Amino acid sequence: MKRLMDRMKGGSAYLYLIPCFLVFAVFLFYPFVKTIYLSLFLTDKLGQAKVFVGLENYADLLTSESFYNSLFVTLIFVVIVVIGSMLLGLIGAVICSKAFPGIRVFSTSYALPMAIASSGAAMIFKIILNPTIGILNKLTGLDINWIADPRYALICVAVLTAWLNSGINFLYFSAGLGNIDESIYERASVDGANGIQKFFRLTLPGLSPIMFYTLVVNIIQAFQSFGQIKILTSGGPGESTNVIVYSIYRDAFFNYRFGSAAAQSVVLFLIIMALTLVMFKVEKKGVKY
Amino acid sequence: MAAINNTITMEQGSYNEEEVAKLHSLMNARALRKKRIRKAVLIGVNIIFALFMLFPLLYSVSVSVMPGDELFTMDMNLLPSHPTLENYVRAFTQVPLVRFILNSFLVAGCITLGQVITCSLAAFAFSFLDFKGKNVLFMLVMATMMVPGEAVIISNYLTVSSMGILDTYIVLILPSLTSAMGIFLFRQFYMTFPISLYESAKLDGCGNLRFIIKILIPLTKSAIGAMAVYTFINAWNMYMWPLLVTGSEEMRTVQIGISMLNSVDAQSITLMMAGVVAIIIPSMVIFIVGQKQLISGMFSGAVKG
Amino acid sequence: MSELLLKNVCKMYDKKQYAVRDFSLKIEDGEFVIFVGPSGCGKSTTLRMIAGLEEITSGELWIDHQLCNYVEPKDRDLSMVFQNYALYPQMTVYDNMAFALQIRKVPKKEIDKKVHEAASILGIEHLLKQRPGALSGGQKQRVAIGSAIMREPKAFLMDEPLSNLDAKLRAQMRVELAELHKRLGATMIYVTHDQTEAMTLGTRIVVMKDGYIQQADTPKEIYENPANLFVAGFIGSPSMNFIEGKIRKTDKGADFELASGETLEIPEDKAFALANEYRNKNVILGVRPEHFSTEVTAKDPKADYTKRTLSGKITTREMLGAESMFYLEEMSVGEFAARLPVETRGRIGDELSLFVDMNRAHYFDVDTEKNIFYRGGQQ
Repeated sequence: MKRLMDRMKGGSAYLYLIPCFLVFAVFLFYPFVKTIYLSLFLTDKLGQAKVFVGLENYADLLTSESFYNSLFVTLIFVVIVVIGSMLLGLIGAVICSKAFPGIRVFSTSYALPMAIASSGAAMIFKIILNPTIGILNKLTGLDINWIADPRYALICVAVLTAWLNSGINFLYFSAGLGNIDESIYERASVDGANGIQKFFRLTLPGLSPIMFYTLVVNIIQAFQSFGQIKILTSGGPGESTNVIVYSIYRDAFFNYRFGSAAAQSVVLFLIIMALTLVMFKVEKKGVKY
Repeated sequence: MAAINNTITMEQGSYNEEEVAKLHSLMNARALRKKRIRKAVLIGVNIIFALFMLFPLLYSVSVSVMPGDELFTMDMNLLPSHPTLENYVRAFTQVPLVRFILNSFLVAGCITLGQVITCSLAAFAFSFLDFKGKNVLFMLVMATMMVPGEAVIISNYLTVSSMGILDTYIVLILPSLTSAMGIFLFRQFYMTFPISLYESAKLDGCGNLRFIIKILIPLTKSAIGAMAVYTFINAWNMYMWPLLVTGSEEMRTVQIGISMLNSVDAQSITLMMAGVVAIIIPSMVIFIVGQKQLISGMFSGAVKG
Repeated sequence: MSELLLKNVCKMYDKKQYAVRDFSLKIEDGEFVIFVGPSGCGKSTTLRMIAGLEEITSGELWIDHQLCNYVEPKDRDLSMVFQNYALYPQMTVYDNMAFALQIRKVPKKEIDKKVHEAASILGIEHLLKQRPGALSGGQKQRVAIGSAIMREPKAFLMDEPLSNLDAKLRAQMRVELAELHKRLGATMIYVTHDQTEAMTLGTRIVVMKDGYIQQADTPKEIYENPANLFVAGFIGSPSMNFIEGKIRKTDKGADFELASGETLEIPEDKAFALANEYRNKNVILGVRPEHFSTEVTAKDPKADYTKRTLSGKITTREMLGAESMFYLEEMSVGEFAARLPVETRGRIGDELSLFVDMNRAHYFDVDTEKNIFYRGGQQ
């Protein structure tokens, strides 16, 4: 009887894990496996796996121009978003690093984009980018149909996403700046460095610990951008903004090709995994504190 | 004497009291001016950058109070000349905006509550209890952070559609009832408590659950606050999942509902902006109010490096 | 450098609070000057004003006869070592040391030579490729000092450089710093709150309190001839015992009368002065622990020790090796400390009678707290 009680006590720890693991199991582990499973099949409109085709879905992808286009578009998109959002966040953090009257208002403003939904922001941008009445064309005097032009559509979506993600970067970089020991700046003053030298030789290197983490988070987030693309461009015009996520959505819910969509999901997952591992390796090699 | 205006130093022995005093007042004035300019430039740069960054939001507010016909001109119209609240009135009457807002509040609230509960329970187990496979299970939890949403969203859709719970509140809430980040956050927080806190409670005969409710939770208020703000905002902003799993108007959340207003004629645009502003306000307000909590909670574990 | 002169330097914050008041000091080339005092006395602030990291509110700073109040830190030709070392965390030790010269565009070859020279003086050559994060406290400190040496400055400024090290390392570094000073012959201006450090390292000590200089003198003078109550109590460990009592005129001269009625005979040279100025008034008597002795070890055979005895009950006894520290309690004095040979007999609770070396004792005015017999030393 006592042993049973003991076993129960030891087991009771698991009880506390049940709620979260239940959710993980149903909505993360199981679907993850299922996605891989689905990717090996052709499916019907209801998503039931019908015909086992092995790696044919993947083969189709690798020979599909549309898929390579998606990869390419996604790559450019991620690069612009990551560089843009980190730059905006960094600028905000730097100009908001020394106290001045009213700093609280500004630091709130720079972090604000993280509270804005991608869909809401997309709708605002849609109006701004409107060719006839949009404020952008009015301010710049240009007459470009931004979202409908395959040359500019991707940039627009990328800029919007960079804006959305700048908030969290502002917070990360502000925290990173705060972690830099003040006294090294004093020492640099005595050693003879001016403001610019201090920025490039002390501040930027001082941010490198946080820079890596921020980069990883940004890349992962950029890959998952969906709402703004759906609302602004729906993947177009002409596939110019058909990032992988959107392509997955379209394949699954418009073309009902769940198998192919699943295969794309797996590929996307592998890409992100690979990128993250590469970055960890680089970080381990290059950075020692 | 003229030389003093150009130098910032002087030779000892070649001065008199007056000259030194003059140098002092000159340099002090110069230093003061420099300080003032520096501060002005800093504020100036911030104002410009803030206007640039906030422009989309400010503009959307401006459009939302613009009467429809003002929008369609070729002139520069940054600000409305006849601001009106008409668009908001229409937004709330023509579209079931209130319903959408209530839906979102309900869903986001439940998700927040659910995450707080499941994550704090799990984190409690990971930090205060000892059991087989503790490390492995924790690694597993952390690993879930690496899985991108797209990898599972299709299968999740298929799962819930086969469960027959599409187009309900449940389907919106269920998948988000826990989060690895939340577990991580709470665990970090709990690790700062001495184990003696738990042990002494146990010695007093306090059961685990009671310990959590009566002792642990009250102490974790700041972490709960941080997580609540973050989770609520993210839940409020959810787009892809609600898009997939809800279809009827009654079930729409704010983000989906507003995007349905997407169209191109003037009246609708200003109406749409009013709607957008209306649904951005709750998340912004919660952010502004809770940002201090949020930031300290996010960075309490020291910045990753 | 020939000389560094501070003239009536003051530092004021917010138009209200003074951190440093009327600080005047002349520092010659090659001196090892130490600013010492309790927290908040203004020593670090003064050092930072010399460095240029704080503005001088009023007064003048002359370095080599040039007025330097408004000269940028980098142009003052000074090096500073910070309490927390202030090493650039993302640079190697080599780059840390080379930084100041790299900024000034000194040719690489010369930098390389200097780095290796400095590194070998401090014994850190094997650390040149490491980052500060991988170093121990003592190693970091050496790197900081090495970086300071690189520029061959007019003077080295050091702000509590040893405070963050453990006791053993601190003692070791003290010796090394003294040797470094001798080897380089450089001027060093050093800030510490540790009076032991001050006494062992400095050629001259500046004792500060509440922003004022209390006394600036050689260690010997400060120890034997403290200017006021604060300096007397601050320097010396364990600190001087202070006993308040009245001066009574006697036939032979004067006595120091305790509240309990016990008296201590005041030596001739001081008796008359005290009897004249302070008859029947209170003064504070200062006796260092080492100026107590037992019958056995009393030094002056001529003195009548029955008239210079203080008795107390032993409360604590600490073994210090060759000596013991006795803590005794007496009714009117309270607790006082005496340093006696280890053979001295006495257990806790026993009464012990001690001879007081009144020749070496100090007398302080109760109101001004100044040493009545202060021989005005160098300031």
